[in-house]
Amino acid sequence: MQRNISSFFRPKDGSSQGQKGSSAAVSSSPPAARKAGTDQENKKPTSTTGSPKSAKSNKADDVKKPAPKPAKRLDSLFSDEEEDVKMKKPRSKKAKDDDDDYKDEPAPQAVTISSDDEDATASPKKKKPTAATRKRKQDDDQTARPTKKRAPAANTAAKKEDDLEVLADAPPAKKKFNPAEFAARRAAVNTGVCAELPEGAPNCLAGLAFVFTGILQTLPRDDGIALVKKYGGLVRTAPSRNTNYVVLGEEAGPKKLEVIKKLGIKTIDENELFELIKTRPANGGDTAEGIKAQKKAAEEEKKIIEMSKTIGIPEPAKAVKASSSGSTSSQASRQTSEQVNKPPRSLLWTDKYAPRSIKDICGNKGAVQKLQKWLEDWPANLKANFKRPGPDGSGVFRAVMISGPPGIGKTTAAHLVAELAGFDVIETNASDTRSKNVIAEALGTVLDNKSIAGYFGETKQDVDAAKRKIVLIMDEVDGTSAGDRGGAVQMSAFCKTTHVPLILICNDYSLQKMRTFDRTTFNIQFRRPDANAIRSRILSIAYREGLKIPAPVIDQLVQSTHADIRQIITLLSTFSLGETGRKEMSFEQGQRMAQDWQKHIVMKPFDIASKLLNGEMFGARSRATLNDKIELYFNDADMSPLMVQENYLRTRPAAGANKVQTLTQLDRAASSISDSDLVDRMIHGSQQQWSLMPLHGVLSTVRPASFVANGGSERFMFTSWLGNYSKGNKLSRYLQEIQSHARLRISGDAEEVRTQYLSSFFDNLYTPIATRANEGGVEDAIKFMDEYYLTKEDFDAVLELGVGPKNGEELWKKIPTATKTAFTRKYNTGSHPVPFIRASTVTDPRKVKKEVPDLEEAMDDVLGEEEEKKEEENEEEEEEDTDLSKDKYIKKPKASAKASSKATAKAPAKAPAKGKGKAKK
Amino acid sequence: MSLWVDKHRPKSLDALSYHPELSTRLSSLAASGDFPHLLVYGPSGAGKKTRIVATLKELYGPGVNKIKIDSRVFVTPSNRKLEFNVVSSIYHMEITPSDMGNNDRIIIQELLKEVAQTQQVDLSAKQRFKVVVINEADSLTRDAQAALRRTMEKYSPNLRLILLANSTSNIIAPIRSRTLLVRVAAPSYDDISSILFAVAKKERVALPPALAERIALESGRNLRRALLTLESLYAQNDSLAPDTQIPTPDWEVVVTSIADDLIKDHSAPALLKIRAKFYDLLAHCIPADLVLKTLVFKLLAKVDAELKPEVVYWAAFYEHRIHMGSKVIFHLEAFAAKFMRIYEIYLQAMMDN
Repeated sequence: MQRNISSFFRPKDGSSQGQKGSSAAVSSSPPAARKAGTDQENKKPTSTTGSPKSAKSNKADDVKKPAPKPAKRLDSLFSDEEEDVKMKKPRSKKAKDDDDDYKDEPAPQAVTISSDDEDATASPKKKKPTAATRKRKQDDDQTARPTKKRAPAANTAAKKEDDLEVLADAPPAKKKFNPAEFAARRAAVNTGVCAELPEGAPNCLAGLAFVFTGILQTLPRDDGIALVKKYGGLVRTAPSRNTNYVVLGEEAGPKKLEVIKKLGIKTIDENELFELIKTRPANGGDTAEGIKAQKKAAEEEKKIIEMSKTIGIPEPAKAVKASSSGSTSSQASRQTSEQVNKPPRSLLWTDKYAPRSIKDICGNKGAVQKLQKWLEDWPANLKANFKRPGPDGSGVFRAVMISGPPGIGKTTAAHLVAELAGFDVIETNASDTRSKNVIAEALGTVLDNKSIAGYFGETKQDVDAAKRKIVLIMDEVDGTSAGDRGGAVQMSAFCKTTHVPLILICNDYSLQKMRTFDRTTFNIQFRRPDANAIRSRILSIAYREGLKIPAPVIDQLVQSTHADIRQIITLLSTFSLGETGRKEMSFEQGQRMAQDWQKHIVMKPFDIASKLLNGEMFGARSRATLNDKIELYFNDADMSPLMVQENYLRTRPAAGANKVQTLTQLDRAASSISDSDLVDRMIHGSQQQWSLMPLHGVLSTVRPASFVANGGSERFMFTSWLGNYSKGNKLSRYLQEIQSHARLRISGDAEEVRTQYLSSFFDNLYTPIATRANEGGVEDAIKFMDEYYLTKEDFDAVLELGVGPKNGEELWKKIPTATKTAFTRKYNTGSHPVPFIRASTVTDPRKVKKEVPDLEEAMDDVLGEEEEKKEEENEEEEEEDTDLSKDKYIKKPKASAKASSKATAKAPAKAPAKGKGKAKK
Repeated sequence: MSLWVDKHRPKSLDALSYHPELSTRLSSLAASGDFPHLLVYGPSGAGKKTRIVATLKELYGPGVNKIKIDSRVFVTPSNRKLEFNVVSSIYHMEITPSDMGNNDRIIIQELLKEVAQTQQVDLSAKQRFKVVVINEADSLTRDAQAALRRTMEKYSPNLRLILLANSTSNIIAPIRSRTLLVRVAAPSYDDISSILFAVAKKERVALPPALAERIALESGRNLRRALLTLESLYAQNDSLAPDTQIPTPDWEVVVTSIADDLIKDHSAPALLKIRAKFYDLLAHCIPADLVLKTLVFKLLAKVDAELKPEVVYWAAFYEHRIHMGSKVIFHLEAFAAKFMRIYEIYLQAMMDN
């Protein structure tokens, strides 16, 4: 479903980008500078927003044009928007008109820019000179690149110094932080021009560390970072002694500039960066960094080759060595020797390269150690009857719970640790039924057993006394399904009494059903390992398999799979099978594969809401297409509209917007949500027009968010619609009950009871008790209840139904407990009329005792006899009231018997009637 | 100890005080022996049900006043069991199918057919047919109304229907054409005052004429509300004076506070507060259209004449949506946002001038 829709809606490149961009981007949207068919196409989307001019501009053009030209263009652009505001002002008086069509509305960002107050509009102007100088700085030997309107070359170095001076000194002195300005700055990102990304020698930036700061003129920062990474450079977030270059954009943070100045790091702009890429030799060549990097790489490679020999299934000759180093158990060696005999092709890579020793496990060293220690201490703790907590408090637990996301080696770690400590493993997982009974039966016998696996070993060793230990690993504990009712509780009960160590494994420890393990198990959390922990292992696997994969690609895969080692290995395995002879993965291929295989994580409602409403998605720099936004809606099509509806009022108003503008955006968002409800009705109502889902997504989620989205929102709340809806349902049920009870006295329907009668009911029920409980108020209230056939439940419901000044729930709390109990006691002692006889409430005292049937199956046989008896008795009594005066227990079989007899009696009578009816029609 | 409104409800047609021509029409219909299907409509508190009960008494005699409530269980096609209350005497039966929400069709199909297929048991009964009164007929789903059409004709020897509705607009045309439309208009202010006096006299309460008029005015020509107000006034005050303050119902107090908020503060936090109040009202079973309608009238009293047409326009716009859509809060909130916007624009324009 999701895929279909997204592919159906995927627009032509760039068409949706202009949608939320500032009007500058919209005006110049024709995709011009597009080089089709290159791998880089995805990576330079801003180029599609460049004006046609920019693509065609040649050098002669450049020279002719004076430097301040682009600035002027910007000026006119801003003044346009000022006009827009002026235009809007008188128009907004007749708000109705401007509301009907949203085509002529300015995009939301326009509001951020086009604020009325002085400094918001002033700040872009202030920036202009710097923009111009930056333009001027570009080297003229880069003519090959079709960047836009380049000014004649200037003294780059000197200019840069100047810039640095200005930027470093001026901002802290002159400018105070101004949110309006900040927003304007965010919006007025770059000139809408994007540079062509350069081609360089592979890995040419090896060993160089870069820091990006400020707003780059022609290069989105993300692209810049990707570019540096592609050529083997390192990207750091903050400048330090080890930084080689700072890629400096406009208005970088003053603190950073200070550091840069102090450390004397070389600053470059993006054009110089491109130059660097183009000119540097492969692998850094013979520059100092290059040599260093090469050395380091060589070292690493050596290590990897070394490592690759030890991983995976050892070659037969090394089997003994591996097993003796990896684990001391004979069990392991038996296993490995067995596996070696199998043809290696039949093994999945994930099995082939599964960790064989503790040190093979990537990351989570601490957690594994904890587990190991717990298991090793287990026999001692058993002797101490689990009274000694030990240093980490694990000593009092007979069971341990490992939790963590999939694919990071929880099960592997558990098995390895067990093996290492000399335990035999019994494992159950979600494929086994684990209901209460099954667990009770199966575990009850297992838990006191001892392993005999040692007796049947191939190796003719003596049976090690320690081998008679077993450990029970319960995998996928949270994967209990409907058939496993009560399993968790039963398991948790075993955790308290078990005589063998229990290792439970689950993904999500925060689930409600896992709460039962809180006190009975020692919780060890496994976290996602970081890229560093995984990289070398993956590289060595790749080496073993003859794949050549650069390290940055691995980092990328780690990122996109959320550090799921298992999935990365599967990915590589798939890649190696894809094209015959393909043994090398380029950066772009890796990027694409990472994108394709990006773990599709269904986002939680909160993530969706904050992603939509925090403004990033709708910012001028955002490259999220309309489809991306709709995709967010489809992450949870039920919840995301509700979350947006709940939180669209909680975003901060757009900076610089005046009250009317803010209210206008709120109104637009609210009316769009209102529109969406009509669409929702068409989808979920009788029409079932499911194809309208994308429209609903836009109206309910994307469009409202686009109006109000802004950075720095309040804390988002969970939707209150659901709670209020179910409360409304509950109360309307109560109301119906009241109406049906009072029906014999009153004439109104439920709605009228609520709006008209309720106040009087309240006055006659609550007020007497509250004001004159001791002067007969309680009696009066009860009398009134009897008059209207209201029950005690109805009394509570009347209180609950009141709002505002008659919020009975609140008021009732203030009444002294003594009065309340007096009322309850009084009510319970008396007998009260009911408007109709509930069969279940009438019981024959003689037969009450029988009304404790525990086992329904057992009763079936007895029932048959009793029913007959009752039948006879009934016939003697008056027939009329049988169904009313019987007690519950007797009534049930009676009713069904009656119903069936009725049905059979009716059936023949009905059949001809029906047939007749049909014939007539 | 019954409330006055129930205690002094007229039991027969000739005891009814207003709309005399309607009463005579009904009694002649009852006497004619050819009693048609009726569709009785009119606003809440106009006396529809009272008239019908009186007409039934005219038809069958005092037997219809002996009523009981049965709880019936129906099984939906999806095997859900629904409990359904049926109010009945031996001659007639009163059902509220809209209690069942979307399953009302089952009630109509099963229950009505069952009733219609059996004849009057009591041979001494005055009429050969039985009467089924359907409450809230205007909230019957289309399906249920369609199911009703044929039943009305086919079983007319055994069964007469009396449909009760607030307006005929939600009733499909085929049903309207099969019934005799009886409009019960809301009583006039004078009607209400005179009834208030009559009740006050019976209860030996001194009611100043000015107060009676005020109650009538405040009730919005809803007799039930007028009587309930009178009684609660009497209960809360030792003696009734012409200027005794008339209490407003709890929900109306909340709506008034919403209106105040809307006038006072125009911002997102204010809207959040208003949303909470809307939610409170809706969760406590106050119908959304009533909330909107009351709110608009409160607002109209507070805004300048120039703005009124626009406010009313948007109120109507969103009331329509309340009926078209399903999540009513969205539309109430959209109205609130819209009002804030147009009011703020208006205020700014005033300041600029």
